[in-house]
Amino acid sequence: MDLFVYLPVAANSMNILLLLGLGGLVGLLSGLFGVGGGFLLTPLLIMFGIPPTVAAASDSNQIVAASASGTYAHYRLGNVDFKMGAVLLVGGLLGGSLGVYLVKILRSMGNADFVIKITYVVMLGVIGGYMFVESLQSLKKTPAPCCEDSPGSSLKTPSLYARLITWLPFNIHFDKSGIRISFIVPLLLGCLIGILAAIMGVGGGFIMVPIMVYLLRMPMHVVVGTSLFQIFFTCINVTIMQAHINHTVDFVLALILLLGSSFGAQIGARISKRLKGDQIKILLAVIVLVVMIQMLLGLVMNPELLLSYKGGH
Amino acid sequence: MSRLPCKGLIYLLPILVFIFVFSAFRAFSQTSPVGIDTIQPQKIYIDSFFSGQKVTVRAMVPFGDKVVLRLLGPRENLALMKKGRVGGLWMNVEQVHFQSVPKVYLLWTSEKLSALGTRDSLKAMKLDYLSLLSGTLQNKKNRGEESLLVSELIKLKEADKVYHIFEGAVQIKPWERRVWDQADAVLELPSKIYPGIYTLELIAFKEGKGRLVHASTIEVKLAGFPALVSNLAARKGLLYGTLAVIIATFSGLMIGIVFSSRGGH
Repeated sequence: MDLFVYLPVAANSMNILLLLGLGGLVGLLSGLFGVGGGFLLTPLLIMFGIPPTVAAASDSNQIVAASASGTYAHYRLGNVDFKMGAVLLVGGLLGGSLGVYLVKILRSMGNADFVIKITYVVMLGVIGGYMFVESLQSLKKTPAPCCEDSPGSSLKTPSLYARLITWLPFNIHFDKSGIRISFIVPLLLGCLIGILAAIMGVGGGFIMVPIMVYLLRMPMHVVVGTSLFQIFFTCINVTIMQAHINHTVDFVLALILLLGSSFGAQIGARISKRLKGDQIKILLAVIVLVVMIQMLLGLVMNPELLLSYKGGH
Repeated sequence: MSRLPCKGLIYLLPILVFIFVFSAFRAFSQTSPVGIDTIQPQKIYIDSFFSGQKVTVRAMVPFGDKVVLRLLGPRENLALMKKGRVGGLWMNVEQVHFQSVPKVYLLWTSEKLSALGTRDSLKAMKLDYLSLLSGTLQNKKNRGEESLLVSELIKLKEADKVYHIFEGAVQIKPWERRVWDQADAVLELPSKIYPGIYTLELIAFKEGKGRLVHASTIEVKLAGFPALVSNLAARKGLLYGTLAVIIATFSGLMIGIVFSSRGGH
């Protein structure tokens, strides 16, 4: 039986079950780790014949559904810090706008693609590697290098970063996260994530999660829900902009993906509750490192085709 | 008595003229079968569950001719990214522009392409990809680099399954002994076919030389839900994007609520 569906903006047909499966897989990761999954789904869609620009834009649309579903699930579990999410979101929007201009300057200089690819590999490598090592140490019950509030760590001299964030004014207590910190810190970090997300062309979830864990020192379960909350708004903005300016959102594609991803996100949220924070971190680290290696191979190995359509990641 | 046969001939003359004209007309009308006789269907509608379309084509050609059916899609200008090595790493280094490139180029032949005619005759009919796409590159390049970029464009289009040559896919059988042949083919159009007017050409080869015998059209149109979505996306992007976000949010929340009511969190 042919279960093909025609995607009017992508101008191609795809198997419905394949799309549901891809959506389900990415939704699972989204609910489990608090990432949008764009860094994984967009290349997969391109691999199955969707034009890169349509893949990236429609992916944002489906992430709206997955993150809405995931945020709701985490909200029910009491895992969303709305105050922190809002500050990060404001920073992210500012940084995103700044990043778009930065990309424009880099493109005019002719080396945007080089910067984007290198940033991608370096960021994925550093974040994935650090998370992997740190989580492995925690799982082995050895003290983590920076962010455990163990009695031993309190005796150490605070790092420059720790001294800096305590010195900054406008301290706010974030109840859900259980931390007291200047709102300037999440604002600036949100801005940094926005810049990186704009340069790399992704929602930034996989950068956001480690930053929340290691720099804002939020508990892992709150991190996932709060990250999804922030991604929800970022992707609403991207979807509307892409539909309005580039006409590249394929709603039929997004609708099938989101059906899969919303279910996947629910399952992911339930699994995340049963896992320890370090287990979630190490799983995410492995995925980030696999994507990094795949990208690195793409940069080093001879490509099958020398020409490609414009757009995508 | 002797004049009677002559008089009879005068009466016979119009009949003879009629027989002559009728025979001449029949003889003349026997040349008319040459061309594309059947295209079924000639209008293709892309609906929600479209996954490609088979089109049956029947054509008549002079006895002994080799046959090519060529489907040419609407033309487009393409902006592509070219990969190159920077510091030992492969990445996009340059934008490459092609002008007036057929979106779809499909050939069905009765023989192998090389057996149809000489290289020059294939080139004259622009049957091979290279002659079809020569002159389409907008960036000024040397001959070697232009040829490389055109070959890469062909590879890209072939990977999309919109450029393909189906050798030996046209079946030829005698229609009227040693006068006409009948050519039949089932054209399998890919799912990645774009709306527009396509030209279907019948090209016949005799003694290595090709000629265009007949050209017809196939119309591909969006229908139903895909037409609605495509129109809205192209004409009212802001409304379309807003609706897409609202539906996505609502769907995500509904699924979340259904799950939480079942899960008992």
